Amino acid sequence: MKHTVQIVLQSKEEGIGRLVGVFRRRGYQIESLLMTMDQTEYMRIIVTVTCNQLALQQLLQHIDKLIDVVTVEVADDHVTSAEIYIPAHQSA
Amino acid sequence: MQLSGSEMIVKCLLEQNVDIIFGYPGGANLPLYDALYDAPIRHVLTVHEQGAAHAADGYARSSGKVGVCIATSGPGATNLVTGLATAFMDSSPVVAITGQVATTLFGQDSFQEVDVIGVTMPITKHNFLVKDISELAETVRKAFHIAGSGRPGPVLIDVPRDIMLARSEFTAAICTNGKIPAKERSAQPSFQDTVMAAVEVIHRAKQPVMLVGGGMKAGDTWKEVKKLAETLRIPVVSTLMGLGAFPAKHPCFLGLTGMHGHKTANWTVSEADVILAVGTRFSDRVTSDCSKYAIGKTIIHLDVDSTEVNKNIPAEIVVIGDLQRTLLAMNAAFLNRPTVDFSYWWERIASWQKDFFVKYNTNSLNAPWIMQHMSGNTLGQSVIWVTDVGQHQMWAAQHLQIDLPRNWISSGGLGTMGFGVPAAIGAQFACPDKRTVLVVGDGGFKMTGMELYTAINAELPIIIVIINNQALGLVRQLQREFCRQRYTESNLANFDFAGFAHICGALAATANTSAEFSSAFAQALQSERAFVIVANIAREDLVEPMVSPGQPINQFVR
Ligand SMILES: Cc1ncc(C[n+]2csc(CCOP(=O)(O)OP(=O)(O)O)c2C)c(N)n1
Repeated sequence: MKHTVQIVLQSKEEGIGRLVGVFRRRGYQIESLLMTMDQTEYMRIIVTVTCNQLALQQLLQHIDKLIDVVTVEVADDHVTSAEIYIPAHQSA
Repeated sequence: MQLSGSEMIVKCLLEQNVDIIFGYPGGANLPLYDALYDAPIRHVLTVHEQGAAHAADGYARSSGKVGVCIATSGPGATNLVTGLATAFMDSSPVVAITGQVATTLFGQDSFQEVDVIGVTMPITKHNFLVKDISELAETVRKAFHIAGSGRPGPVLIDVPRDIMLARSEFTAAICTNGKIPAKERSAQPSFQDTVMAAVEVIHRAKQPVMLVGGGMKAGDTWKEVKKLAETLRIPVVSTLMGLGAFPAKHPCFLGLTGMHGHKTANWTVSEADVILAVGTRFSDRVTSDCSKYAIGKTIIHLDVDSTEVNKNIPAEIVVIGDLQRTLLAMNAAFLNRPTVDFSYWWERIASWQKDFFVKYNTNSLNAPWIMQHMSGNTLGQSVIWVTDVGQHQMWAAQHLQIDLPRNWISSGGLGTMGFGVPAAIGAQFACPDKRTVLVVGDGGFKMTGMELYTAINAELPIIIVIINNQALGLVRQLQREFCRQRYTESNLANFDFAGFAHICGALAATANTSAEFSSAFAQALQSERAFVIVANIAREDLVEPMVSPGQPINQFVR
């Protein structure tokens, strides 16, 4: 199933590379990726991937383990497609 | 107080109670070396940066403290890579500080510029590029905290040369270890309930086994595990990384399990109805075919890292968090429960032990006998056993009697040949009161054996036992079993290891018989200088048991 994952990351240049690295290394194909700098301190990233529920849970754990990830959550209900929706950042 | 970046790094290392660092200088970290000139920190110059990284790792594994290594930019930094990857795979806390070209030269393929952040991203727990002097001190503090907390691991800090030279205000901090708030984790809501569920499952088990891994190194976890095993009287098996976590001579202990595990240990796991896994990640070396491993079993998995559960083997009951805390809770829960009778299970285990008993001959010098001899002759002494990678490592894991989790140092996850000599140096520095004995192959010794020079310079009394089979033994064994004995590039010419040791300034002896080995080992134990024993064994000797590839772990090639 297609899932949308929303990640808030501390804004360091390395952060996005580290995050994308998790997808590649653990074998998840990124279908779309959208990144916005909300404030100077944080960036918000919305990624869609297709995987089963178990793989999704594993992915969330791997992302959460990254030191510069502030929050990670499944946003399937709020976001149907990352390509068309850029949510505003409320509070990190 | 106004300080330069380099001076700040030194101050921060002192805050963390660092008294020794392993490293190698160069252009980009020259300012740091200048600051080290009169700093009260011992710097050990290794022969190669890989040696510095492995030494820091060996230091960390033997002491539980964070090991520190430094290197210059470019080739210095890339030479650390194997060492960092080794530490990462085995969850060892190391902080690496690399020099980098000045920020003004960034991105221009400047001399000795390598994107070390990019290179080390997948092999570090975290890494930092410091681009602003005002962030330097806090970054170093964070790096130590990240390396040592939770599931430990290596952290790299890349510091450009101009940041090392810049001056800024420095505010001292007391050792912040543990003070930087860890990332908020949603604590398992039902900790107590889950523990009780685990206790219930074990209580109802007929044939349970406890599987311990490298996570047992954390704190005093091993004491709780011993208590639990003794209360329940259940058998305990260990992964390569978990050796030493359970006393080798304990009646509940069945030894190593996995690819080259003891047959009794592997049969016990195969026939078990419940596996209580403590601080282990069910690697493919432990499970062989993971789709068959857990059939018909209930798995209880305790680990500090949530990404490790349900990764290779699905678990029915999962407790995430500090292992010592989890085991304390389990021990408390078992206190007021009636004991369960596992005597039928123990009878089966005893029959395997009888069937699979092997006595090693002393007619020709062989590695299993060497391991048993060394253990037998160091009883009551505190010895750190270090290995390299290959057949000798498996013989050591099977036959040495290791008594404490930090007395066993071996590259498990990455299986890095060349780890042994520098890791033994790091361990001997960390634990001057213990004796460090390294077991290494003739192939692996050649990879980093030049670090013997480092050991001699530092007057370290390490004992190096080269198991010389004139072969890349483990590769040759695979070729024998699976390549129709076509020994492509696995037979080695002989080499005068004793002569090499002498030239480096070490003492050396060569043993062709068990009598010669006994006398050499006795001499080595008396020696205050590094001592190399070249133990010549037959090229044909094989590591047994060996699980058939892709088969359940109780099916053996031999
Ligand atoms: C850096 C590195 N290169 C290659 C290997 C693959 N490898 C595993 S064991 C082994 C043979 C080791 O030979 P030796 O050091 O003589 O030890 P022995 O197996 O003979 O005890 C090799 C080449 C490895 N583990 N690490």
